[in-house]
Amino acid sequence: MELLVSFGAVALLGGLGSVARHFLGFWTGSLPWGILLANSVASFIAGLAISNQLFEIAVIFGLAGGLSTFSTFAAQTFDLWTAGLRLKAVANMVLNLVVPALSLLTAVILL
Amino acid sequence: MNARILSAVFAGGALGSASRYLVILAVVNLPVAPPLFELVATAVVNLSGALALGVIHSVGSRKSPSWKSFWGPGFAGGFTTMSGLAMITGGAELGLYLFWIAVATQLVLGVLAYALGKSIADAHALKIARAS
Repeated sequence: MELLVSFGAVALLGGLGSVARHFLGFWTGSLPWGILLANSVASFIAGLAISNQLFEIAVIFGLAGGLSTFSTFAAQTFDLWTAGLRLKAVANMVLNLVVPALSLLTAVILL
Repeated sequence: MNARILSAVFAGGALGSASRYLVILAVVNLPVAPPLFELVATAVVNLSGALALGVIHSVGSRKSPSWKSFWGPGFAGGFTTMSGLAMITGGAELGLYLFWIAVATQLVLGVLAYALGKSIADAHALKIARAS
């Protein structure tokens, strides 16, 4: 029963996180900033959930997992690379490696 | 943006997130300790999810907007995770630079997985078009 509730909470918050990411994803410019923001905010939320241990499973696996994305990052980086914007593709990789990690660290330090 | 698209993203994201959680629960039973466990779990969902999105983007040109929204930003987006990777690199294992290298490698492999999925699906579509 507890497992079923966990699945339900992960699915519900994952769906909400995905819708939020979908909206953020429209923010593009020289780089896909919207997805970087979604990944960073999701990592910050995950950092808060680790620190508080409140609703850990639902928040980390549901909300943060649904809000962040790896597959869209991969597609956008591929598109930049194949468009000949190789420096931007590498920048997108480095930013998505570093900024979400720093966001999570910030949350952990703040709490 | 209409309600049908948002509903499709929500439903796909819910299914993708629950599926990711299922994969993680399955990987928990493997004989690997954290943070190696997180690395294996994220690699499984992220690389397969990136490969799937390549196929989805290739096939999607012939599908409805709702189909694309459900499987693209919905399922593949919800199934894969970047916050899971941040928990490895930004977590307690700061001294372990090898995990930074492993996560960076996963990012590169993810782009290659997406390219592979897209090229396989494109080649398959071309083969069908030539046959008909």
